Amino acid sequence: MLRGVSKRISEIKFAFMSPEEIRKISAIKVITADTYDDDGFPIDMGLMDSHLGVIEPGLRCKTCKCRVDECSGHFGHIDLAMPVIHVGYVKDITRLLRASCKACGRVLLTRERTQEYRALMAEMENFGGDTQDKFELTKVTAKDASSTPICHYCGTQQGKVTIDKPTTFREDGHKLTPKEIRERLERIPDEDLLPMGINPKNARPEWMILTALLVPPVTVRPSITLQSGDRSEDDLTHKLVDVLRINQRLRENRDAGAPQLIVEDLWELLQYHITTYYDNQTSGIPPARHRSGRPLKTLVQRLKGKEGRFRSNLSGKRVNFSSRTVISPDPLMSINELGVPRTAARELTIPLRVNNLNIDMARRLVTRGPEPPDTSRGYIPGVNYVIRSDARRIKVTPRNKSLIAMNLEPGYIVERQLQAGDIVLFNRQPSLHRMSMMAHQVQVMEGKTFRFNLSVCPPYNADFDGDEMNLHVLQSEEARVEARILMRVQEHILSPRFGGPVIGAIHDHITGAFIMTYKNYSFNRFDALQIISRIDIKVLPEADGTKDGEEYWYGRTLMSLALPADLNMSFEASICQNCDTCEFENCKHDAYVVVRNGKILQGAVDEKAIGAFKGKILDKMARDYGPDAARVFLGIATKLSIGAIMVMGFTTGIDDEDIPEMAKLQISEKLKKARETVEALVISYRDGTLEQMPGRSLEETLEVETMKELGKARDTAGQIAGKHQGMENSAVIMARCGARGSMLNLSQMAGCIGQQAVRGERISRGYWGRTLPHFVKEDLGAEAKGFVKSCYKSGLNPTEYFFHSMGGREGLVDTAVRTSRSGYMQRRLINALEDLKVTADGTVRNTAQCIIQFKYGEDNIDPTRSSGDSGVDINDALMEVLGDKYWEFLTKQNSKGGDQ
Amino acid sequence: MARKKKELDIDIMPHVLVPRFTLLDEKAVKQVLGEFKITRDQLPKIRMGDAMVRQIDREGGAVTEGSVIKVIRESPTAGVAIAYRLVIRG
Repeated sequence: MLRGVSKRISEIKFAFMSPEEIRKISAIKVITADTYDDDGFPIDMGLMDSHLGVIEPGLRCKTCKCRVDECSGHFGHIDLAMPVIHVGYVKDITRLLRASCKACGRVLLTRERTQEYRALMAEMENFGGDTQDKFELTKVTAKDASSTPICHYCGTQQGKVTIDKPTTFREDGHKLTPKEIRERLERIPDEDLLPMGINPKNARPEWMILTALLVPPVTVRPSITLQSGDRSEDDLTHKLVDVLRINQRLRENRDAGAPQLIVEDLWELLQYHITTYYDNQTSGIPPARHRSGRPLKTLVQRLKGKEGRFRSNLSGKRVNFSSRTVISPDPLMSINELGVPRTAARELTIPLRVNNLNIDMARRLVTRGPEPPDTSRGYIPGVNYVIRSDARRIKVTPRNKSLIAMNLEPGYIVERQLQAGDIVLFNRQPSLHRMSMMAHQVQVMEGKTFRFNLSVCPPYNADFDGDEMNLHVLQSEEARVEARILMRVQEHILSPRFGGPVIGAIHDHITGAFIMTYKNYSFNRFDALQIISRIDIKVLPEADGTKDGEEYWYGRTLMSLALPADLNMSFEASICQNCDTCEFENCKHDAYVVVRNGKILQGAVDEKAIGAFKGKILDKMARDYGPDAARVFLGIATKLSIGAIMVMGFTTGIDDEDIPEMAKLQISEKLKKARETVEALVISYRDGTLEQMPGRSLEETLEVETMKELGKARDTAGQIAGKHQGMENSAVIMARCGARGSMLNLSQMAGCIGQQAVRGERISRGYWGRTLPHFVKEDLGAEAKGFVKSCYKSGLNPTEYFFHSMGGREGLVDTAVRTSRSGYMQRRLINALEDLKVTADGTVRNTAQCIIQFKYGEDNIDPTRSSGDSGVDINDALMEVLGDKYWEFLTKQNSKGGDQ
Repeated sequence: MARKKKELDIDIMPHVLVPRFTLLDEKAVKQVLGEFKITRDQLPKIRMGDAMVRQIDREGGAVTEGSVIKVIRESPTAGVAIAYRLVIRG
């Protein structure tokens, strides 16, 4: 059925090319292995004969009398002295040889069986079975036939055909020459081909053995002239030269009646050259190499794989109007902006169609030329090219700019350089999700890097250690509008993956917000003004109180400036300790955030509030106030955070991991005890008194028990160390508020690193019966199997260091393996899903309008436009409707201790 | 020659992983097609040889090529999800 499909391919015919057909389409028979003569002209009957098309401007093709770009080239052919097997058909040749009689060529089946299979094939055809099905059937037929020892027609005993990869056939050990094979295939009658999956109208099996070789046009294998004047030929030409040369020698030797051995050798050599001409990666033979040692890129290599014609030139193409450079951060820009270096902006253009209304503006633009000097406004765009109505492209130069401007007419296209505010696409590879390519607004800047807000790092997964990113300039008005509506950064704050924000505060933004809001930190007028000066709000809010005659402002009050006046919400902060009974707004740890009427009343603002992936406030802003409000909020909140962290000062160093001697003693005491416990376990294992766990062997029981014991020891060590690292410790602040690092990282630095594992088990490989020669054989104790009792700060002893490297190496290998695997998985998924879309009626359909899913996600819910798992946040809705009344109700509920 | 598979003689319907299959009559099919404004060929397909389809056929459902089967399955997002499938050869 044709639904929105203007053309549909009804049939594709695959056939073999017969030698007659090859000779028929051939423009010339190639006999000379030489290409050009001393004057640089193509030699007649050579591989570069002018009958095969032209590549040099000025010359004319001798076949069609056309010039370079008019003639697409013509095929030629080489007559082979002896027949040669085509590597691509080796499988089919084997199948046919095995399934047909060596003497009479009939299929090795009874007449009835043949009829049966033919009927099956016809039935499959009638019911529209696809090629795959038919192919499966022919395989069954062939298998059935090849197991027959004696021909049903002539009674000949059949030999066993084997192949020596890639192209040598043997029958009962005797070599079959291509000539013999061809004769056999010729004997197979037409009526026996159909059940073998070959349509005799399109293909005769003997055509799989080549007697003539098609020579592609020169346009397919152009030679290039180097600066030195030397000609460099294409790999295919090189290969064809080899074929011609050997073919010539073979013919001469054969005609001169040379010994059989020599002829056979040459024949085999010709087979090799033709095999590698088709596929230079045929297994079983060495690839043909260039003089430099580089393997030649022959026909199959041109098409296959990532660098092949399909994936590299047809599915994906190089584009114009794009730019790539290093990225660097600019915290002062808004998240949807992008700093573009001037040099890039001067190269990238947007087409502007001249009409009666804009002709004056267009003239002014063109008058500026390609490199207008800066004005008081800074950078202004110029024009690189003007395209006339007759599609002629004229380069604008300082010399001709006024002339071109004067001659401007409606219908001309002016290619204007990029200017501030233009919408462009920005992308970082690997493009794993839709947020990997978003639309930004241009700001032309000094420097040579692309610059953007740090909050946009998470969706691109970018950092600034040398990452490069690509920019694409949209060329049509429609594309720009679409990008502006669908692709701008703020439209992607909420991710469709989990319905939360992917763009949000990171690292110092979170630390800053946290330290300014935690435990009612207050600023004096000077500091408060310093912080405020970073944002557009230039008036300090009312002071929160006075102390010693000086007014002060809470950090919360300043942070509240970023919130809309009617925002109400409450949630647990990242620092929440998950106490047994939650005290809600009376939380002692400042871990319950309460926002009433746009004021933060309680709690510390941290990762759970504004962080990427987790920020609750950010999430609510984007949902309830729209993407643009969320963008503005994020800008203000991060700027305030940075302001606060700079006023207050924040640093971390090795002394953050300092713990008192006492604690160190305690830790080593605990570790010693754990070590002894493990020792005891080992002894009980040796004694046989260790109680076996259900479903595990004795060895496994020991392993599990020791792992448990040592894990516990690591945790207690961390806890002891943690006792001496309070909320005044910068490293702890960062870990707890979610800015960077984790408490485990800290306990490994200050306490104990713990058990190292390879493949999820304690380290056991190495020498016979032991991991390292430093230990006694069969030692099952803690140290001998990779327990690291030191901490990163104190340093590891040599054996510990070695074990730690083993664990670390496993991690590296895992990531390397994972990325390549997930990359391929992603490719398969994308190829399978690329044409699916959600239609207006909620069904998911492909481009043929077939239904794939009756309701998107089975519930028709867009995660970015709903809340939580259920789609609706009832508390939030009630709060909005009932306002304060519901708030009171909630508070009462909370104080009753009922957890809701 | 492809061997004919021996017909399974167990009821697979009660298995936890098997969703509920029902054969739609012509009227219901019309209604479904109308609801989605589609023709039969735009429905997702199910093969005649599918174990559940064969079972319905065995139990007197008279499934032919072109019949439409309603599949009701549990869904982690929606609770219950309904889908329709066109029976094809195979």
